[in-house]
Formats: sequence, structure tokens, C-alpha cells
Amino acid sequence: MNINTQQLSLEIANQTILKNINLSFKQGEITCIVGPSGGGKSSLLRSLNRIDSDKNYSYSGDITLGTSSIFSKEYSLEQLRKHIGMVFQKPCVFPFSISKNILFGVKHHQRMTATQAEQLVVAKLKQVALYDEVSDRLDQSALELSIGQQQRLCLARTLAVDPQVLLLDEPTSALDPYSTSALENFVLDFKKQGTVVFVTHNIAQAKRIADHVVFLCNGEVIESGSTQHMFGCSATAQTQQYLNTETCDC
Amino acid sequence: MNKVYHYIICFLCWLALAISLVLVLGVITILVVKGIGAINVSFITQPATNFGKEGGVLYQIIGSLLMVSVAFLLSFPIAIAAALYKSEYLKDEKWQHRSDMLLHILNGIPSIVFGVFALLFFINICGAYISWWLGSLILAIMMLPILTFSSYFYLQRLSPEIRESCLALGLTKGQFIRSFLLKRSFAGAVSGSFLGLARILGETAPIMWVATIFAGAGIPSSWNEPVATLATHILILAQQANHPLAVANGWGASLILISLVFILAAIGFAMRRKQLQVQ
Repeated sequence: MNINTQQLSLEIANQTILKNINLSFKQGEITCIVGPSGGGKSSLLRSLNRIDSDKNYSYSGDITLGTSSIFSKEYSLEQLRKHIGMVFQKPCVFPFSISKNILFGVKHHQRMTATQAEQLVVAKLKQVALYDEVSDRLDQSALELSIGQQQRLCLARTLAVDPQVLLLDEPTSALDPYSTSALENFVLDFKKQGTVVFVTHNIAQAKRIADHVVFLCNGEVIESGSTQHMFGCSATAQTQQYLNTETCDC
Repeated sequence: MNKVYHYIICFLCWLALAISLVLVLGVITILVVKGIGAINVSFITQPATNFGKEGGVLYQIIGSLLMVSVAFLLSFPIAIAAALYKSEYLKDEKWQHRSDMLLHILNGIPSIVFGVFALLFFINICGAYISWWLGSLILAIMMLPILTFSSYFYLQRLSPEIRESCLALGLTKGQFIRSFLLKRSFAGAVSGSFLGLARILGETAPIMWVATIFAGAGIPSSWNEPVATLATHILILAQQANHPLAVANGWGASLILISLVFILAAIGFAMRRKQLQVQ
């Protein structure tokens, strides 16, 4: 499913965070959002599944998932978040066993037999390349896992709900190279069936995995385009400067 | 100069701590020394006779435990609901502040005021009997703030990441409350309730006119009967201070009361510490 933002603006406590964002996140593509800290990357990502809906944020413009607005009555917040899964920067496993962590979300959406649950746990752990590392301790506390393993478990937990869109907010910033590589491989695999929006500070990572890159600074889209275009012949000096030096004067 | 000031402040803090400890230890030591002689198996297992000068404190122990147990059962669900409401639904800062203030005021109301209120409202106006359930109700109201704050404190310590992760999985607020917050508020209220029970166990003023009588009370066979409690029994014995047997039994009953308070408080603190370690 495609996600489109139309003239999306966001204000928090009278401060403009996002200004007139017009973007399209397409199915079958990985879109990486890059930009300096405080530029609005995470705010944009968090707008896409309305995770801050209970806060007094002021939105204007629209976001559509497929053909319907995510602000319309067609999507309840729960349905929306079921369709659009999210993985955060800091892994947050629940203080339960590994199996229970994976089943936690999905059990609130559908009933399943013990066999189905068991199969789902194995399938999702395999999908994030974690099964071989934890297969002998699925009933042990998830808190005992390393940070990298915890992040992959969070990803598996999100996948268990079967989202069509995956939002990832700097998911590899605290991970070791092995876990980073495992997560990147998974994302490259997932894009065949869904849409991926990936916020990262790591320019090399964006170059490795993105099909489409968005450069966001001070709440504005400075430039967006295919990875080849952005890294090869970007139109603005600001983009070239940021992608080459990771510094920005905007 | 700063160093001297620092040492003076440290000394004063240590002095304040030492005074507090000496006072508490002093009271406990006196109670143990004076009361231990009165305590034996028959003192705990036999009812009082001759206005407490003879016999034991069996009915008083049963009465006290009955009243505080029912008080706990009454206030526990209300405290959890109040804490959940404050934590999840009361978003207006003004009302948050007001609810905090009201709970603090409720916590600070002198116990005699509860007693007078219960006497005037329930007995004089509503026509209720002097009964143990009325005492439980008043004690439940008294322990409500401490349970609510304890439960709310645990809810506030839940990391925002867990909340976000739950919502990001498509859980409704109700599902999130059932899955995480209810258990957590329960744990908070349980540890707080031992501290609350310890507080109300020794209360005399709020119950002496509405739930207890000074002599003749046994194990209640219905709702509308008074009970004897340790606190009111000690009051009766203290009023007979010219009789050596009454004084000895008074010390014994006091030691039992303070032991129960100490045990409940110790359990409460241990549970709170364990919960904090888990977090």
C-alpha cells in the first residue's frame, strides 16, 4: 500500500515542526529519510501511524494510506497501527518470555490455537534471523537478550501483527554490525511485500538499502528522489553537502 | 567557609536522624521490656475478662484484623480505579493538581474528624448501628489516599517506550490497560496497602464511637455488631492505670499491636523494594 502526504504540516506548542510535506512512500520500495537531528524526520514518521494522537499536536494537510485518509473514520487508530507497524530507535521488549513478546500484539487482534501460535513464533523469529540464536530458550525472559537481539525481537513482534507498511525510526543506531546487517537484509526482503519508511542518520546505510531518499531539514523537504539521483546528481547544494559530509547549513 | 557550612548541615541532618531513631527505638524498647512479661499463649488465645484486667486479647486481635481486612477489600479496587483514571484519562493538568491536592487533604484529615463524621452522619442521621462494617468503611476511606498514591506512583514509573510499543502494535487503550497497567497498579496498591493497613491498625479515634464498644464484644455474628479492637482495648486499660494487672495487660496489648504494625509495614516496604528492583 502506498502512503502519500499532501501539504502535511505539524505544529507542536506553536512551533512548526513540519512544513508542507508532499511525499509518496511507494509499495515495493524502501524510502530512507535522512537529515540533521531535529529536522523533523521522526516527527514525520510518527505522523504516518498517528502514534502521537493523544498529544495536543496540530496537523494540517492530509496523509492517505491507499486511497483513504488516515484521519478519516475508515481507519480506527488500532486498525491504522495494525496496518502500519513501527519499530523504534531503542528496543523495548516487554518483561515476558520471547514467545510471549512475539504473540503479545497479534493475540489482541486474532484468536489462534497453540499450534498456530507456536508456528507463528518460529516463522517470525526466522524472518528476522533470530531463531537460531534463541530456539532453545523461547520461554526465557526477553530481557536477557542482547540489545541487537532485542531489536530483532521487536521487529518480529511487529511483523507478527502482519503490517503492510513498516516504519523504522533509526532502528540500527545502537546495534552491532551483525544485527545491523541482519536487520538490513530483512528490510530488503520485506519490501517485496510491503512499504518501508526508514529514518536513519547513517548515510552509508541509506545508500545501501534505499530505493528512494528524502532529505529533510528544518521540517522541510529539501529534496527527494531515487537513491541514484540523490547520491549521483542531487539538485541542491544543501543535499550534496549533507550527503557528502553529514553537515548542513540549512 | 563552604566546607564548614557543609559539615554543619551534615551534622544537623545526622542529629535529626539520630533523634528520630532514638525516639522510635526508645518506644519499642520500653514496649518490649514492659510488655513481654504479659505475653504468653493464653494472653493471645483467650478473651478478656474483668474489663481487660484478666484474660487475653483474642477478640481484640480478631476484631482489629477483621476491620482492617474489610477496609482493605473496600478501598483496594477504588484505589486502583482512581490511580488508573488519574494516570490514563485525567489529562488536564489543573484537574491532576486538584485531585492530588484533594487526596493529600483526605490523607491529612485528623482521624478524630472521621470519627465525628461517622457518628453524626451514619449513626445520628442515617440511623446505622454501631457496627464493625462502619468502622471498616471509615478506615477504608482513611487508607484510600495512600493506596491511590502508591498505585499511581507505580503507573507513572512505566516507561513511555512500553506504552508506545503497545500502541504501535494496534492495541486499544483498554487492551493496554488490561495487559500492562492493571497488573502494575495492582502491585503498587498491594505494597501500599500494607503501609496503609499499618497506619489504620492503630487508629482509635475514628472507630471508637461507631464500631467498637468498651466491654462485652465478642466475635461478631452479623454485620450490625460492634467488635473489640486492640487500640480501643489499650485505651480502656490505660484508663485503669491505678490497677497493676490492667497496666501489665496494657503493655502486652500495646506490644502485640506494635508488632502487627511492624510486620505489615515491613512486608509493605519489602514488596515496594522488590518491585523497584524488578523495574
